[in-house]
Parts: sequence; C-alpha cells; structure tokens
Amino acid sequence: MSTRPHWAHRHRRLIALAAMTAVAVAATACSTSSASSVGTTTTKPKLTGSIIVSAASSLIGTFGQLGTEFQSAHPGATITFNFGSSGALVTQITQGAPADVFASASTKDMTTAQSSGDIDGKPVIFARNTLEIVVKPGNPLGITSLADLNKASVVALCASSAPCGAAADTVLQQNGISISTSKVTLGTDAKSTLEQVTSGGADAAIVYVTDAKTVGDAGQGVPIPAAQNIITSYPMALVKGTTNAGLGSAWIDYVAGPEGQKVLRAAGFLPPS
Amino acid sequence: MAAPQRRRRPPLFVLAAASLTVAFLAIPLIGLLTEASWNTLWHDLTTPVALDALKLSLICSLWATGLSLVLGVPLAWVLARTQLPGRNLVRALATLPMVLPPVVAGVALLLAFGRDGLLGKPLYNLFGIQFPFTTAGAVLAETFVAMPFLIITVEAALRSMDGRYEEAAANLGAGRWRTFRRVTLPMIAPSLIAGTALTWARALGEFGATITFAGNIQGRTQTLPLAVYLALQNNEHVAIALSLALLAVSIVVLVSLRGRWLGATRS
Repeated sequence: MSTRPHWAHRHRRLIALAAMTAVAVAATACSTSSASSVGTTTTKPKLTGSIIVSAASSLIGTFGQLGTEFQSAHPGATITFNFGSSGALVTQITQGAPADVFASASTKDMTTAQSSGDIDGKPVIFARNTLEIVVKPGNPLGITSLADLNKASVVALCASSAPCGAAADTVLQQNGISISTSKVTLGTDAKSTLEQVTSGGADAAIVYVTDAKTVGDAGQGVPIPAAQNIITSYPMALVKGTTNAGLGSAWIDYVAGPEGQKVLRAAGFLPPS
Repeated sequence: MAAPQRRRRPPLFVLAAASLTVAFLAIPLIGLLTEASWNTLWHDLTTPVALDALKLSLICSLWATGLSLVLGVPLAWVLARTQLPGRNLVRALATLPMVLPPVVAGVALLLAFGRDGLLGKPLYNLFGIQFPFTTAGAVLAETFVAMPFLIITVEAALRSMDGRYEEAAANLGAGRWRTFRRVTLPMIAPSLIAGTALTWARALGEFGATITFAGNIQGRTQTLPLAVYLALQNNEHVAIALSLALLAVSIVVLVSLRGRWLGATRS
C-alpha cells in the first residue's frame, strides 16, 4: 500500500496541474481503500479482507443488519455497502467500478451486467418481492382491488425505469386496467412513490409489499390477489475481477442461507422459490 | 415633505411579492423543523454513519471548492480578458454542468474517468489511479457540478470591472502578476467570495453525480446528501436530522461569510 503515494509522487511532475491535485486525493483515498483488502489467494477461501457489495437501495435495512451480523461472526471480514438504484449500480460496474458483489432488485439489471461480461458465475436468487396497493389510513375511498384504483383521483406509481414501476406496469396491463395518465404521478423509486400517499396528495400507490410494510399508521395496505399479481426476483452474483471471491461467495451464501432468509422474511420479502 | 420621500418606501406590491417569496422559501424549512424528532436528534447525529457523512461532506466540499478556485479562476480570466477564438463555445461548455441533470453528469464522468473510461482506463492501467468508490471520485463529481458557479460569477466581475485601474498599475510599473494580485483581485473580491460560497454550497448539496459516479460508500463517498437518501429508505427522522445538520452547517458558513467578508468589503 505504501507504493501508491510513491507512484503519485513520482508522476507528479509529469501531469498537469488539474490531474495533480486529483492524484493527491486519489492516493490518499486508494491507500485507505486498499489497506484492508489484502485478499487471500489460497485455494481454500478464508473469510478475511474486505469486499464492496453494490446493492439495490431497497435492501438497505436488511443488508445493513445482515452485514453487522456477518462481520461479528467473521471478525476478520469487512463488508462495505454501496447502495443505489439497480440501474446506476450496473452502470458503475460496467464502467469498471471495483465492486465485488452485485445484488440487484431486478433480473433485468443483472442481465445487463451479465451480457457486458461483468458477472462471474451464475446469479443466485436470494429473495423475491411482490406488489401491494397502499391507500390512505382507513381507506376512505374503499379501494379493495386493482380495478378500484380508478376511484382514486391521483394514483402514485414508480416510473417505468425503476424496477417497481416496470412491475406495476405489467400488473396493470395483464389485468386490463388502464389509469388515465393525467391521474398518475410517477415517483423515482418505491419510497418516493409511497411518500405520495403517506404525506402527499395521492389516494393510492402501487409499491412492493416490503415498502407497504413500512408505512405504519400513515397508510394502509390492500393486498393484490396472487393470480393478478407478479413476483419479482432479487439476484446476486460475484462481479468479474473481484479480488476476494472467497469472501464474496461466503456473503452470497450467508444471505441465501437460513440467517439471511430469516431477516429478509421479517422485512416482508418472499422466499427465493 | 421631501425627506421622507427620499427614504424610498417600497411600493406595496413589491413588499407583498417579497413577503410571499420569504414564505415560499421558509415554509418548507419550517416543515422540516416541525417534523424533526428533537428528542433523538443528538443521538441521530452522533451515529457513526452521520459523523462519517458530516466529516466527508466537509472534506469533499472544501476540496471541490479549492479545485474550482485553482481551475476556475484562470478560465474565468481567459473568458473575460482575452479574444481567443471559440470563447463562446468554451463559455457554454463551462456552464453546461449547471443544466445537465446531475445523474447524467455522473454517467458522463463514469464514461470519462471510470476504470474503463476514456481517461480513466489509461490512468488506472499506468498509475493505478481510480476514481469510482474513492473520495477523490466524490471530489471530482462535486467539482464538475459546482465549478460553473465560480466561473460565471468571477467572469462577470472581471468583465464589469473598470480596466483602467489595471492599466494604471501596469503603467506605474507593476508586473502582470502584481497587478492581478494587488489591483484585480481586491476589486473582484466580493464576487470572488460570493462565487466561492455558491460553489461550496452547491458542492455540499451535490447528490446525483456523486452517487452515480463515486458510489455511496460510508466514510469514503457517502456525503450528507447521500446519507439522507439512504436514511429516507428506512428511517425518515434520521433523514430529517441529517438534513438539519446540512442546513445548519451551510447557514453558519454562509452567514459568517456574509458578515465578515461581504459586509466588510461593501462598507
């Protein structure tokens, strides 16, 4: 690690002023980032070193908890999370950001990463999710089904670019329900969509069950029957070029295993199969 | 009769519009204040996540402001004082990050400085330098988005400045650097300081480019706005607490700047 500042130092004379300042920052940042990632390259994976897990932001609660538990079970291991929207995380990975594991909220984004050759091995489905309607407390408009959404004057949906939006579009379409676009407000992700009902002007929203579970008394969930609903999968995989495949695989196994599943189930996620 | 007239009592409709504006700006902040859970505020702000984010936000925004000064002031000078061809194009380029949605700016930065990017690839292969997931990346993202504020403010000041003072200094034998330091700089100081404050504030609040380009890693690239975004996913009162911290920091800095520098130079 001590070579990094030295490199930066040696080339300091060669590069322009702009790059120079940036290099100095990079050098300090690199030395801290790689200090703990002295990966073991023995054939038998030892759980030491550190990995970066790029995960969909809907996983922050569960992964945060699981990360703490995993690290206390394996004191030599450090799990660092990089939470963001699945789409942005894929862009980072395909542009070479040094993530070790990718946990996506949609198979579509995982497929994108796979087709650009950035995924190692086969993704593991570790959780599934399904949609639910959320209405105002007490359900003043008496919305009990997808068809009733037309009673609402404003319905909040996720934008189609977000996994929850794509899922909601599919559900509405396959049940032949069309809501006039002038009555729809689009959120960037499930949380901002939910917010439209819990503190905004929307009468109903379609979000994930796991989000609906978090509303407390600011809203009320209306389940969508399984026959009308769809189920989305959360895949996770090693990123090609990871320096610590042993720890990465152990983390994936842990999340897919009984401890991980217990926490995910408590948050409302469905079992992987 | 003439004396009170000279005091220029503002027209009623201007006063009304101004009060409306104040209300418009203040009410959302009041909303935050009333929603905040004051009992847990101290606890929320002293969690490792919050402290890391606060520290990182200060470090990154100050670096970004420093870089903007070092890189932006020379460009502002070139734009204001030279007749180089293509200046209008460069000026448009320099303000482009203000218009670009920050997330798009983040993607563009990835394409340029990512480990597979145009410039990022050789930088990584030759020197082992990489920006995504590093604090340097967060600084770069904030600089890209915030620097235009400095460039346009300083350029405007240089343009509107009376050039005869510089000529006089030069005629009296001052070199170019001395003229700049002793005449130009003091004359544009208020704008320079205002531009610096704007740039710093923009860098401090930067979200989209940072999370897209640098990632969202605690202690490394997770600045306060990113921590707020994550907290909104599961802990709204923590998100509000962090936003209040962000507001408090900016108010302290902006008010003290105004009092100490802008006020002083004006009188």
